[in-house]
Amino acid sequence: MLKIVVACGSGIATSETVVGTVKSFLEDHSVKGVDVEATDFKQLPSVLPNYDIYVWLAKPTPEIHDICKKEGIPEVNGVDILTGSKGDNTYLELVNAMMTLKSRS
Amino acid sequence: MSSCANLLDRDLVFWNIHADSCMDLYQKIANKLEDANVVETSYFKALIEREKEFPTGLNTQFLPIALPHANPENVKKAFIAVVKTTSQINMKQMGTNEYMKSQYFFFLGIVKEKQDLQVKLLQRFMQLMNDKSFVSSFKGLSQPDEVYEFLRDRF
Repeated sequence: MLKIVVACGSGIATSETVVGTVKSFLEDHSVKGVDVEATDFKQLPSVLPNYDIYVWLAKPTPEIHDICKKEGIPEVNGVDILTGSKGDNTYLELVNAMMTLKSRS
Repeated sequence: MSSCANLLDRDLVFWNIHADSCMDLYQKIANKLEDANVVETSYFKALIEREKEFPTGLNTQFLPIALPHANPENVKKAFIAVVKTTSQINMKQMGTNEYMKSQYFFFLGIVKEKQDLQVKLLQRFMQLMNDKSFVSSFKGLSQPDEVYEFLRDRF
């Protein structure tokens, strides 16, 4: 099971929205076996190592970058996913991160 | 009318607000929201603290906007307040904290009980913001009543 975490400031508004958007995207493309969850920024450092991909909506701190580096967790821009403003390229970073993990395993 | 549209309120559309900074704007809107009895007295302080740490400006495809919100304990009743300022205001962007300018603000009053509905509204709203004709019609609206009816019919 691939696990994605989406984190905004409070873990309730924009992160939940992006969780929904990512889930619909995966469903639309018949991608199964992916868990998508929201968390808030306070909890993030302690829960982050349990996930495979990190989608950020609040600017990652150096501490977060370090955890991602150490654990090999790709960081994906979630603001683009929230706004959908990149059109067809909106999910490109996320898909690339998933492909990287797939080729690694 | 969808259930999401229930979060809109004719009395929470504030058009042509004079503000010279986002702090000034937040103070003015916080006062209005307090008068409308949808937020606690703690709202303004909570809002500016949260915005400082986690800014909510978004450069959507056709329109720069912001989604200022405070944590749920400062909100009495779920709402979305739609605001246009008379001129552009300096804001910071979500995720990167870089500067941007915006004239349109959607203040989200988030309460835990209605979270699912609000997430649906935000998803729908983001969809609409990628619709060029929606955005250009929205930008052309000049009366709060028009704004309310326009949004209500599309959510």
